[in-house]
Amino acid sequence: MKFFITLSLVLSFSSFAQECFPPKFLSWSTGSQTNICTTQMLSSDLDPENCIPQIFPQLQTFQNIIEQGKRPWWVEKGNAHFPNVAYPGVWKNDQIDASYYPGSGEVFAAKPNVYIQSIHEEKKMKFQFLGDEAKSFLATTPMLTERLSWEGKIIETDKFEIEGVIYDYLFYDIRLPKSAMQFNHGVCTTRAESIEWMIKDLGAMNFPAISLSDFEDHWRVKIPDYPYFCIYPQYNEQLDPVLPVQLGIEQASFTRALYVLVAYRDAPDSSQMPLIPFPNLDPESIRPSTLITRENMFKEWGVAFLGE
Amino acid sequence: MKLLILLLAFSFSLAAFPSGIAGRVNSLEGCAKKVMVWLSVDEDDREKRLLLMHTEVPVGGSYKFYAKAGKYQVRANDEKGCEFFSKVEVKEGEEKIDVRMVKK
Repeated sequence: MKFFITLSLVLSFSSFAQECFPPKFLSWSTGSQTNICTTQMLSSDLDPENCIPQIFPQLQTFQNIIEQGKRPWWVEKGNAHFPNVAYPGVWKNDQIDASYYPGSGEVFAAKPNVYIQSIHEEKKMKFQFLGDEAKSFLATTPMLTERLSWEGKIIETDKFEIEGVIYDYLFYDIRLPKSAMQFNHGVCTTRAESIEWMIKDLGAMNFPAISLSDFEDHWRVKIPDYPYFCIYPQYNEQLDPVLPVQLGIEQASFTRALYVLVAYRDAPDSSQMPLIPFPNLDPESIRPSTLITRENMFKEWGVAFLGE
Repeated sequence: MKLLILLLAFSFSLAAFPSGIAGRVNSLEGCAKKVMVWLSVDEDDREKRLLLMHTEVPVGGSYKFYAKAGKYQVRANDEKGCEFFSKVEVKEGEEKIDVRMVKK
């Protein structure tokens, strides 16, 4: 009996907060399905399709997407017109080239998509960005009002209707200050496994199935073809203060997840001097709980890259 | 003094409306119901035509790209082969580009 109690304590403890003491950092792999403390990711962890990128390896990335057979319809059209469709934006020195974009902020949050899970077939709603500081938006769909809001209705329980047009999700790109982000909690992993890890994380927050499918379709294309990434998730605790949002609807909640990705050409190794310290704290410990359900649950995912 | 106040008011109004490109998406029969709108630098050579951002817009819907002053290309494609193309120069304020999809 004592043995089982001890065993269950050990097992439950290992699934909770995990901390690595520097120089060790957290890595994650599909095989282990858990975070591991390490000083160096093994090169054997590399996905077979990944190669070290060239200066601007758009062709190689596009080939990989074709070979994987998973491509949304717009990839081929985009590739016919642009050399960098398989990048989240203009890319230089392993980062977004900030000189092409307006506003300020070192973190380029690409495609935060806002989804809705509601019990209502039709319900008036308002989603408004608040705060005194100027916002560095890069794109929105639909357009925001002058009050920086989307105003319309929730319809069919999982869509928005704005000015008579139905949207599956609301979309924005924005620049955010690096100082508002956390860079301690996270994991380092390979490119393919980073997508798997993020989808698993969104699943743990009960994001709707369509949002997970959109996430995978988009980011299998738009995450650049680097062999390794460290993922630093930003949740409500980090995002609400820097980009507060007011939901003009009763009985509502808003769950936010923005994954800041830092690309690496070589296996993360604690003897390196990385641009951002490798993560050493368990990301699950800061993930918001979604146990309490509301009538109207807004959920937002996004992926961000650093820019210089 | 009056001139100074006017200038200040003008600069504040510009700050309130960041420069960029915005519009609505329309399409003809035979086109798809969702459109990918692309913003790139204005270059004829595909290798230099860097894509800045893109957004999927339902027909009838609206979009906005926030952009620095400069010359750009706005393109749009859909799954059924309809297209749109326009060049635009962004100065101060918002340029209006309504996307009208046509079958090619």
